[in-house]
Amino acid sequence: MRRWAVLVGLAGAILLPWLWEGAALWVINLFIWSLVALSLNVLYGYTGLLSFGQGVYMALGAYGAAWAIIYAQANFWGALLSGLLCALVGALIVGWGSVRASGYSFVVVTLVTAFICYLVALSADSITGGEDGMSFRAPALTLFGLALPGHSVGVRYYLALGALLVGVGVVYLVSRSLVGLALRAVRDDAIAAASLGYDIFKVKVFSFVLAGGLAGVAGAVWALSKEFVRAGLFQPFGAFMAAQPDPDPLIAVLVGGAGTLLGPLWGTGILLVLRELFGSFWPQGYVLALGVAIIVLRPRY
Amino acid sequence: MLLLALLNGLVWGCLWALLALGLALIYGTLGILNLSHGAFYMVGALLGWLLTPALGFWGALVVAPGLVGLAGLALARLTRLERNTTAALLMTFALMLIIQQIAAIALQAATGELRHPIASPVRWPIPVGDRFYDGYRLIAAAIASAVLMGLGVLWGLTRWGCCVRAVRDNRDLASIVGVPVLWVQWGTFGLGAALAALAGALVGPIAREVSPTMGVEVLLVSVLIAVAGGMGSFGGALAVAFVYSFLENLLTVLADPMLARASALFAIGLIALVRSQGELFS
Repeated sequence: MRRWAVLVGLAGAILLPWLWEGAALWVINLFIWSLVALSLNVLYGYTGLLSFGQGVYMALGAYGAAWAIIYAQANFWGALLSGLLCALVGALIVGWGSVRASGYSFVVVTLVTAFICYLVALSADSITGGEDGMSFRAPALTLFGLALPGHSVGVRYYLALGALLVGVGVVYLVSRSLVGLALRAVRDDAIAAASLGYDIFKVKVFSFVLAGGLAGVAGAVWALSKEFVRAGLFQPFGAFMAAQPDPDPLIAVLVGGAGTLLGPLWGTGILLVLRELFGSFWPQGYVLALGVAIIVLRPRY
Repeated sequence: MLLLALLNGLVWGCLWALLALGLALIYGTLGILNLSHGAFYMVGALLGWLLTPALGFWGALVVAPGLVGLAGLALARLTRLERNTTAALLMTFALMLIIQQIAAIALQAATGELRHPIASPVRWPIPVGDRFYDGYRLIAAAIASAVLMGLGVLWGLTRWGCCVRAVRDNRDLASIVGVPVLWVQWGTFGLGAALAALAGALVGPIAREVSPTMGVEVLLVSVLIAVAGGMGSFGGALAVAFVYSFLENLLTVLADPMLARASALFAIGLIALVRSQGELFS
């Protein structure tokens, strides 16, 4: 039953741009933000590291792709790879420095890292474009000798879908492997995990880098899809600052269920639908509703 | 230029100390990181501006923190924030979203835009070299340091301070000897909110405008100062606040303000990281 539901959903997702092109543009957003929520879920849901700064690695991925296209005239795959590498390197540096911090110190360090990156990105506006951002043309996608225009709805849609499927696959494989057990062991009882011989520091850094890489891919896909990057991507709590708030990955994970494979996808979907519902009659009510929902539901995570 | 930076360092040191101290007090007694601190700061600035026509600036400076403090106490009581879990952290995050959004809706309805200018209550330009320094800043610093000293006396010499320290050190023992633990916790949350609001009301005329999101950056900086100062310690928060403030303002002489703030945050962040090393299991 469950398998059939997944297959039908997958077939629907693959056929959607042919059936209803208008909806496809909306669903691209869903795929990209689901991937960011998925990445945060690796960190928070599986490893128990609460981070408010996952947007940093998405932003690094987006800038990695943009820089490769603007400064190195990279092709489509080169841009994606550059985004992934930028996010991985950033996550490795920050993770190496910060995962030893415990509890609230870690939360604060993730927040402040995002803030520092935001300030640096704003002041280095010759490289990052600052608050106004930079736009560029997405290069053509060459696949099996065919050159497809990089900005067509089809390419953007299937790129986002493919990235999300790869992300779900990676998280599934990791969570079923010994490494996934190590992540959950560290989350549930770090002392017991250490006495079993797991190196807590390495496990946490691995989780941080894996999450950073997934968010980086999401960022690169986002940049290729929008053909635009801006320093505001780094901004802490930036999702709530915009007039049309993006689905915040942390709230998506909490709503969908932390530590479950597909929960972040459901959570992102719920947030996006909620935003549309409020958007038609009371746009400001959306964030208000999220806040009230968190307090009323009294999360016990 | 250097003298101006030193003056700014002193003034902002007092204000950051006020903010970080509120956070440290709340962490010490309730064991939670209060992410809504910046929102209380913003409400303080907003109320200070709203109440000025009725009460005058100095009257608003007293009433606004009082109102915010009572609201903070009520919120802590209603949401039972003292239950020390990750849920409390997320609830303060939710409080931040709600308060900011209500402020945005109210400000939009009242003025038609999301930011509003604030006039300075006193005109007292002090000549410093070939420039003028805004004398109001010195008054704000004096008020902030007077409040800090008053808190220091309360903390060290009164029964209230004794209760707060007892709750911080051991909640069970405190309740056995008759300390009303819950009321101390809620009251401290209210006090922390009031301190944030006082800082907001004082900063309003320095920042020259109010906006619903003005508290976000302030939250990030003061939370880092409180963590680097060793959450829950009075002296630590005070010392780090002044170190941060002088560092940032002296760096402003060399680099642009955003880079100066980023590097000062980085330096204080390293202190916070080094302090929390070795707590891998907690």
